Amino acid sequence: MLEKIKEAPIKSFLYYVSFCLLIFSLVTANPIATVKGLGPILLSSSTLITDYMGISSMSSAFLNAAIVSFFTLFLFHIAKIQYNGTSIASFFLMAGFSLFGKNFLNIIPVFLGVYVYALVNKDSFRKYIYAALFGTSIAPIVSEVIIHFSGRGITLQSIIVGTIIGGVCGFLLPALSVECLRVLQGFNLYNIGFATGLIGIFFTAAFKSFGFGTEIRMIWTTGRSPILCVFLYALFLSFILFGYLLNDKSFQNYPIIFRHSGRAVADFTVMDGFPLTLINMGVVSTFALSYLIVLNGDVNGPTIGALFTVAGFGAMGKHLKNMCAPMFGVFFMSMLAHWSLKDPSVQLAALFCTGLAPITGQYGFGWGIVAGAMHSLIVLSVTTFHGGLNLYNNGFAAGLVVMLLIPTIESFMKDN
Amino acid sequence: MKHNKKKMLIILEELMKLFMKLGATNIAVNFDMEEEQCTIRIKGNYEGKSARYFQEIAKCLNCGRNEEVEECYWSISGSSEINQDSELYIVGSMLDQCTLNFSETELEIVGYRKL
Repeated sequence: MLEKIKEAPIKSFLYYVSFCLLIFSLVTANPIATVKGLGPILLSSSTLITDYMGISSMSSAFLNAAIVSFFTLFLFHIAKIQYNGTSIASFFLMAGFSLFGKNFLNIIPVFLGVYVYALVNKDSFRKYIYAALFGTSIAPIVSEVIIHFSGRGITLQSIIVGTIIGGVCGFLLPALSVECLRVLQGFNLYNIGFATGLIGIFFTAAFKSFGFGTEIRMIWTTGRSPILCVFLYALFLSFILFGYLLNDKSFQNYPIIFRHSGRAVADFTVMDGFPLTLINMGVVSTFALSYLIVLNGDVNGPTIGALFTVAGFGAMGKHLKNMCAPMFGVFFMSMLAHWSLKDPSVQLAALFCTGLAPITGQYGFGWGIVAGAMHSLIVLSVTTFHGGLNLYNNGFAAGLVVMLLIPTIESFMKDN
Repeated sequence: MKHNKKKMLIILEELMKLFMKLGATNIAVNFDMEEEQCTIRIKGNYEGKSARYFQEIAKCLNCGRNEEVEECYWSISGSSEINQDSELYIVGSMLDQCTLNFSETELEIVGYRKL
């Protein structure tokens, strides 16, 4: 048996990121005001797009992200998971989406639902931990029901109903995500977004039939705070620095990561080691941040969430060679379509479309551009299907792209 | 354990795909299901691969049993004609142990999975 990956550096790294988020939240504003600012985050709707920096403040949004990050690490600890690329990706998704939609209360019912699923199937919760973590993309449904169900604000009745509905979503996730994964064949890195999109569609339709509507929002802070940009650059560049130091103070062999198509499950920590993975995470996230800034995008909760997603999947599928093509596809489509790269949803699409990186890795740059272009068209229309309840809207759209595109590509491929 | 037989078939299918990718024309399979463990033994000929290539495969197949990755991703394997390191990593996460023995013309893979 070959030596297993060393887990301690990965664990330490995740704690480092959590502490960075916490320290940033406490030093950028009065800590008492920061803690008080959690109230609006926990008590407001969280459907797409709800920038917690706009609902409350930058420091409070980061404090929420830090709390959710530490909670994720706590779950890893009690479940005794093996630290690898999947744990890194799930951690970064939890941290990133805690800036716009997930908070430390609305994720709980989803976890409870998955836990009940494990109990019913006489399995350990640990087996379904990634379904639970990724599946918290449906957490806004909990907030929405708790706040709006009774029509009189938050009541005991609405809390119970919201918890049950969140639990039902969590219960459905493990089995549904497995089937969705089979359909998408690993070409969509945000597989669970497709499953939670389907759940969101069902509940949106059900709510409408019972006279309860969900609200798609656009709470979006604009601009690029210098302190935030400096923090993000410092954070992402530190990934490269730590990777360099762990790699015997060198960038040697980094290009071997580019040989992977990125198709799930491309766990770079297993295949190429954690040092090179860390360098890759820093490179892709720094690139994505630079792209956002050069194109005059906004650095806010949702876009930082997208950057964290890019960083997280830099451990599990994404690298510069396979993620640029979909981004270029979005850029190309912006020159033809009646929307611009500055539009909020398009800014997110340009970053999240990198979930289709495996298409480039498998079939080439050209098909990657097509995938990105298709993604940019689809993602702007599908939010209404699930009522904004599915935070991984781009994951859902990417799933549709895969279902449309892969059979077509395969039909052109020669039989090997 | 849920879907155990399905998972064993998927492991078998992915390993068979690997041999076909290596150009095997003669593959022998032995599948031994005991009460607590299942053993899959596949032997076949191959063409033109180096020791380094088999080390890469061994790395994926020996990543170690990982139930949380297995439960999340097992359904991807066996779903396409493509056989890559990502599929082999999923297979590796479903195996407790895997040994690779190869000569100039022949490869044998033995995988063990506790039930």
